[in-house]
Amino acid sequence: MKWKKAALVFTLSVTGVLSLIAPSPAQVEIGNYTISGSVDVGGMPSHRSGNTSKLEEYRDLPETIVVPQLELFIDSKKKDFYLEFDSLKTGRDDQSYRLRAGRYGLLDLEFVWDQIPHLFNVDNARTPFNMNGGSYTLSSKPSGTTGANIRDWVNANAAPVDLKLYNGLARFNARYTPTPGWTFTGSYGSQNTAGRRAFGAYFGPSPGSYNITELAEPIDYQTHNIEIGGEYAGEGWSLGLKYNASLFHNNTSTLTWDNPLNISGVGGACVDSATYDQGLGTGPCRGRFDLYPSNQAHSFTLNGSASLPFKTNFIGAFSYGWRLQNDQFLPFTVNSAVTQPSISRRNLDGDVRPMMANITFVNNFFRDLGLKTFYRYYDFDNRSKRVLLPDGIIVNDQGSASGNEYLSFPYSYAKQNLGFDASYNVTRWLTAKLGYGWERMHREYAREVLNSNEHSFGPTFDIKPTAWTLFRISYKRSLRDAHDYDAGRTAAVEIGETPEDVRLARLAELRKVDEAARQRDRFSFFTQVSPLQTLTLHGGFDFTNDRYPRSVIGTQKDIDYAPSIGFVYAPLEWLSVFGDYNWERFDWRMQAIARNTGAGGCPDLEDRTAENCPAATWRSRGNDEIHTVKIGTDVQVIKNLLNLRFQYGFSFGSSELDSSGNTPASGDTGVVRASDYPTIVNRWHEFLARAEYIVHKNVALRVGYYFNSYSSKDAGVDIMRLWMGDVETPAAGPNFNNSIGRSIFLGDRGKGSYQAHIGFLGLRLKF
Amino acid sequence: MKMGRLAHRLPFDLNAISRRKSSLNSRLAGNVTRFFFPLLFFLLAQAQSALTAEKEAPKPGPASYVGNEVCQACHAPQFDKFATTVMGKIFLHNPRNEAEKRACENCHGPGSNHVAGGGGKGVGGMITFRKNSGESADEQNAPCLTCHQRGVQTYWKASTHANRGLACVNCHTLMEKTSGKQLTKLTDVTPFGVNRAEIEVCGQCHLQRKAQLMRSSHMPLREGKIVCSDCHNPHGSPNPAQLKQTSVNENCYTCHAERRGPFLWEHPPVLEACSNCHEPHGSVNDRLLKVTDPRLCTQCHIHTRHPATPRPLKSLSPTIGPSVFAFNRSCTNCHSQVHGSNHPSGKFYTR
Repeated sequence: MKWKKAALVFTLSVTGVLSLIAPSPAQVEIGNYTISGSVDVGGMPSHRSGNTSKLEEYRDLPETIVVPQLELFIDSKKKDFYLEFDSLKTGRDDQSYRLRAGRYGLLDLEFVWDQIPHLFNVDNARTPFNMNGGSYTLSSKPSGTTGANIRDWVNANAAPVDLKLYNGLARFNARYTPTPGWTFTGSYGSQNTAGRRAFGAYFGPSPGSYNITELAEPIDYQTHNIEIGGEYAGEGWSLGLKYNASLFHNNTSTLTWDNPLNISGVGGACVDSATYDQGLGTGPCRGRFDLYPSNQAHSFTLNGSASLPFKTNFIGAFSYGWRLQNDQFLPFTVNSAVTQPSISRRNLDGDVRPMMANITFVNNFFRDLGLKTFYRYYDFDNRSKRVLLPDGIIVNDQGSASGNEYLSFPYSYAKQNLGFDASYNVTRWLTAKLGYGWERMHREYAREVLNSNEHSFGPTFDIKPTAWTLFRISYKRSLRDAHDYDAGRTAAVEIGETPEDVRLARLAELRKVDEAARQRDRFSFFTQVSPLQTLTLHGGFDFTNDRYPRSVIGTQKDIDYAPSIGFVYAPLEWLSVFGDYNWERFDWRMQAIARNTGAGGCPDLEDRTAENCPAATWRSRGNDEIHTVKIGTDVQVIKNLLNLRFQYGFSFGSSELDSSGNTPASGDTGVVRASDYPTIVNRWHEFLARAEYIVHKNVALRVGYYFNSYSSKDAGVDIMRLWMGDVETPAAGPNFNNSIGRSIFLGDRGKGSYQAHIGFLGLRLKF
Repeated sequence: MKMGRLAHRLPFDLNAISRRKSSLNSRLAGNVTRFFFPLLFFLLAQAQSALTAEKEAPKPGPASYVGNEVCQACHAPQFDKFATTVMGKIFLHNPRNEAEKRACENCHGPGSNHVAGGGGKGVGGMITFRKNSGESADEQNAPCLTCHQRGVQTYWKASTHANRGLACVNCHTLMEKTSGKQLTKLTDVTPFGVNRAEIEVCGQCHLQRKAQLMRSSHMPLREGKIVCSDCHNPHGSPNPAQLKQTSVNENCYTCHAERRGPFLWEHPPVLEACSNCHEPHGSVNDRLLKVTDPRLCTQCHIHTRHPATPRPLKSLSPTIGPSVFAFNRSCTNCHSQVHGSNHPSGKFYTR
């Protein structure tokens, strides 16, 4: 808190000084320097109702004195030296500062400090754990394992927890240009991310018990980023070299948490057991996560350009890097009653070598004809060691090693792109372009498609018939194949498992969406028309239609279309009005086959198809629809004296998910018919009114009113409670695990509705 | 049947010849429609271009430089505004070479003909940067590119924006001090939020993206904490979608370095592209997910075990509780390490 006080004192002092000098001319001269700047200061009374998490998701809106902006410029009278300082939201959680100084054309130094809060839930999340770094302990345990026992214990012991992160970013940038040809740059950045966010933790074997204990994940990350580079630009050519390093350190790399369902005792009195029994309350005393491991990345990038004969330009880049990770592996389990299986290595020796090479040629030899061709190669070369786990793994800190021999898969892939573009200026107002692109994806280990090719082609038209009209139209058709789709290729993960074994365990008709054969049509239209000097109309339409013709099972179709319209109208010198409206709709469709046999029975999995197993086949469709509106006006009521702005923004989003199929056979209680999900809906309104009254050429009175409201309806979240047992009456039911009644949640997902009315009364002082 | 069809196509078969003729005619007609009209259009366009060129007034002799003082004499307000910009301070007070010393004429071209013609719009062949000046984007960009064709602008000529005929002045203004990057819009600061100039500038054409920033699930762009150019280089790059980094994931790792790994247990689609699951510009679904949970996961994981069952969110039966597979975090209620796990027991991303 010390720094906050210091910042406040500093701000108030600066404000005081500036207030004294405010009536002076809009620029202060001291010796050889000219000083100018401005400061905003004021108070923000507010009235809020509901939850504040979403309102202040990435910002701090305090009910106190604030300094929204502070600017200071120092220029030497010779105009050779400068110093700039500006800050936003001084002393607040979302404050930022920037200090920049240098000599014009020679040296530029910049220091930036920026804070970004990220609130997930500070209103109603609760947890029964005592949280200390990466160790979460319980002071007590439930008296029994029934739903009622757990409910009473959770309600008695859970305390509020703030789920939020703070990102603090410090960055220093330097740029030195000793001659117009040479440029040297360097930067150092430090990012600290600290706080807590919810994540799922789970005990119990699967299937059978789903005893989730949602936790507030401890986060304390530190990342250092370094960049050093130099570049020389001669007559018609340039060459640059850059080195980047990113060093990430996780200060809390493991999380151990007590198992509330082992009721044998607390702390040292708890007795570990290899046998998980949710009825008896036995199992591991604790669970342990390996949180994100510390890692580093280094890369060198060489880029350059050259003018070649026949009005040809060459541009190229080459980048080579290392991603390294060498954290010590944790033991398989923290459960002392379980025999630890063996593992071939103590760490991964993770080593990925990403490489990118690009060459591009642009030719404008013919006056109206532009040609471009490029080739790009990206190689994600994963050289991490393969780790053998001969006895298998321990699932969820209980039981014994699975007995399957596993071998880890350092996944690699490579992507090649080739493209040709030709554009022709048909007339001065029409440019037509035809483009072709090819993308080849090569994947190794653990993926179904070894090589896929995608060919894209289509025309583009830029039409500018007059100086005040512009139309941009483009269409692209892309065809991606996946001829060698073979589930058996993923068998490399498990030793002893053959490709045939994997094929038999999969649905033959399944095509995973990111690898499947795809036909894509993309259309884009944009127009800007200014029929009057005072009026500009704009509009656009973006359309993407993805079809997966060979995916009988899996995603079959995605369609996204988004028309937009807007205008800016300034009929009078003192009045302007603007508005934008966008509607976006995203539709998708998928088909699946349930593992039950359904009515009429089905063949075994490997032979099961949508055709021969219609009863177990189910379909799902989804659509997201969003309306976004923004309108506003700027009014200069009295020139250079009174300015007004009114602005309103609105966003309404809905996400619908419908499912059907999977018909149960008569008397088959193990089958769940596919059903619709309740629609997710959220609404967001924002209204801003502000007035600036210029009292003096250096002093302006600022008055503002801000209204913001948010409401959402999401059945998947709204039903969440701290303890789920009493939301419904859990009973033994098909495909609903009654042990859900023993799961403990933070209750954090309900980013509740809110309404906020916030005022601002302040002064802007220029000096 | 095939033989029969071939027999009918023998050249000695008059009927076949007749059919071919009519087919040829119709193909010719098609070709006329397909090629003749575009060709005609092309020729007309060329003719129009030639006629326009003929109509142009005879060009005076080559112009020479007249010096800033001459420009200032008539364009004092513009000159004074320009003098407050970084470029103005370099050109007017700290020039590093002859070109920079020319200041106004460095970009607008030599002004002697303009002066001799008595000044005024369009007089003397000066390069102007107005929207309706008649110059093409290439002509307007040429003066900028003499200095700014390296660093972040190295790929400009190969960029999508250059390819679509954008001029530097569509986004930047040089004649007065505006925002940090001399953008055509100003950053608007209120106590309630910061509306960055850059987002407004990009949003002029990228209407869908601008709207997406208003979604309930979004990154802090509309709060002014990050901007488009944190991920994209609008001046072009060798990477897809003009990204600054070599892959989608490298871009995301600049802030989310913890997800970089490599991990013992990788989740390959995650490694290939974060955008397989997330829509970075904003989504109606939580955590910027492209598709509602659990359907996002079941786009791939429907071949075996529990994902294959169409889990309802909540049964209609009053005696059955909500499904752990569908509510809250859905699949990640249990598989929380879905971005990759370095735990030996984390094969299923639960540790």
